[in-house]
Amino acid sequence: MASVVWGLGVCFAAWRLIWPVFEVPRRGYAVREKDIAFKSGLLWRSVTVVPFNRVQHAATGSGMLDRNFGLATLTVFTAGGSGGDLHIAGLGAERAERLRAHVVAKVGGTAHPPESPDHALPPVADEGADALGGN
Amino acid sequence: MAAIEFDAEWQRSSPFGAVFFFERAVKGLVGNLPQLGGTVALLVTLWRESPWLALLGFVGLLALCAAVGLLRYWHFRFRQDERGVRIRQGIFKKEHLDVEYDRIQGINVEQSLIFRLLGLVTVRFDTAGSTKQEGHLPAVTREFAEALRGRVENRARDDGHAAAADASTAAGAPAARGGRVLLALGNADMLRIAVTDPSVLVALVAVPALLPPYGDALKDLAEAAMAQAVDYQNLGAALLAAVLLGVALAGLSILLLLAVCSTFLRFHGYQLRLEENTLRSRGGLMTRKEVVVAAAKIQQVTVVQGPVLRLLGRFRLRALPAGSGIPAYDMDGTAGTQRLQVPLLLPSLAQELRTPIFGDEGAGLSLLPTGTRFTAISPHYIRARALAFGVAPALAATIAAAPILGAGALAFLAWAPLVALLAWQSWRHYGYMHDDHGLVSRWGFLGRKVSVCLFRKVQAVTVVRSPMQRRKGLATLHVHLASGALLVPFIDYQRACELRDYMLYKAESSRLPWH
Repeated sequence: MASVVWGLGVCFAAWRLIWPVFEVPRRGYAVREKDIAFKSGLLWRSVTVVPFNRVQHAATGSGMLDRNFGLATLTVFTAGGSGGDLHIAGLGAERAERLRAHVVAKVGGTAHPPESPDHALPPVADEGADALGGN
Repeated sequence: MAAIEFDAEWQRSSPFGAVFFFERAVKGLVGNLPQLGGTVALLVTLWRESPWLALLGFVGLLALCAAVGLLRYWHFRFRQDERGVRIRQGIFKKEHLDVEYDRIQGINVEQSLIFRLLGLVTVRFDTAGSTKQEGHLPAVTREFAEALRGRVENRARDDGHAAAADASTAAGAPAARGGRVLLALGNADMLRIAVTDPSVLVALVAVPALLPPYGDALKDLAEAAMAQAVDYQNLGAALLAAVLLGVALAGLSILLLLAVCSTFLRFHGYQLRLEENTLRSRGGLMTRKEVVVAAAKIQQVTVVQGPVLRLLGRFRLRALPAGSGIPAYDMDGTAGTQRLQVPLLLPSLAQELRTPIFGDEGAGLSLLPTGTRFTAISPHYIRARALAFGVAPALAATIAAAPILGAGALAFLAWAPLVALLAWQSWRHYGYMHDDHGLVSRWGFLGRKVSVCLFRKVQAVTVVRSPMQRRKGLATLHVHLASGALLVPFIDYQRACELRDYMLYKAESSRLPWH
């Protein structure tokens, strides 16, 4: 029984070590004019987009190991729970801070954007769709 | 609307507010019973030793609650100024809570039996942000609550909600300033709500499932009872069956009775009113609860039709303002944004409600799960579910059990077609529909539910693709709202991207406030 537990433990540890080698290169973020996007996942590939005018606040944080490597995590919060929040981990500390400042500035600046004609459907395959099409 | 005088001084609520804090303290104590296991065990032991001492302990606990309630009341002060309501509370840990008018999603009023006799109400603020810092104003007069509500509404109008408000009333049926009653539920409706209560269905399944472990004990009990009444051994089989049937019917009746009682407690005298641009529901036997939600603040509408509701041709509706998807963390469970609930409504009213809630937007959307214009999702959904939850576990179980059961392990394979059948049943109910302004997603297993949202209220959008979905050119769309999420699984990838981009465009370009 003990060997089975050990075996499972070793498998889990190996998986935790090897998985990021394949998974992390698939992560990416894109800052566009009016929103910020984050893609992740190796098997289940997801792309989440948060419009700047829906951002409640943005925060950066770094754990002890992160600080050792000069890394930080940017979290972009939206209203109403964690489902729509973005967590962009592994950014350079300075870049994370710049990005946070950029997001916060955008949030302040896009409170009342000029209205586009509501009745017209926008072109669907715009540059944004291309940029986000990689999943 | 009468103008509100700003308070120069901090004020306390009516002395009866202490009752509110006492209730909260008792609820908090009851809610924390698991953590207070030691105290309870002590009381139980004491009860065996000396009931009087245990009673004294119980009274002591109540006295503690009363003391906490009084102290909380004493330290509770509030004040209104031009920006919002400021609350100062806390005995040891002082809490400063500033609820600004702009952030208030709704003002809900609750009236317990005692407060109803005294003509007082408890005001609760719904704010879009964290639910941990919810504000209460206990034991204030109804006039005060109404004035506060008027102030919040006026403020919202000044801030540009007017456009949304106008849009929702202009197209709506002419609403008198005093409002009109959209729905009033009578006693017969209470019975309908009780029989369609999903918890009754759950209890019907759960109770027999939980009984077997106690089967022997129950049998002994029944035998003992019977032996006293009649000569059990000579009882005919038919009579025995009749007795068992009687017991089952009695159990069912008790369940239904409980459901009816709970329905009366929650919804007695239920009324749904439309006042200008707000929906107001009110009901309850002991504690009368009033939920008021401005139509412009509703993020999502959910309409449910379970199997029993379907037989009755009725629906259940919930309107969710921002924050209502977040579970309440407060220990007495009263925090968390209130959802406006309509426990029973006819299809005509469900359709009628679309106009006050969504205004001109979403005219092409159906609020009913019975609508015929839903687009079905890809049948690959059945395959994916059957593979993941049917074939894979069935194969694993067969292989694992083969050394022990031999050929008998093949019986596990029957699991796969069963799962496929269940997946087919869910797939039949999945569907989505959209127009230029909003999206409707339908799902369900036995019953059917729809969730409706407007594109411009979207907070974030996620498109997810599993390996199988990538092969088949499919994707799952998650639409995140301030009240929760909407899911459209297994639709064409291109379609999902188009929908996502259009939603983002709407959210990014709309000048109407989303909350």
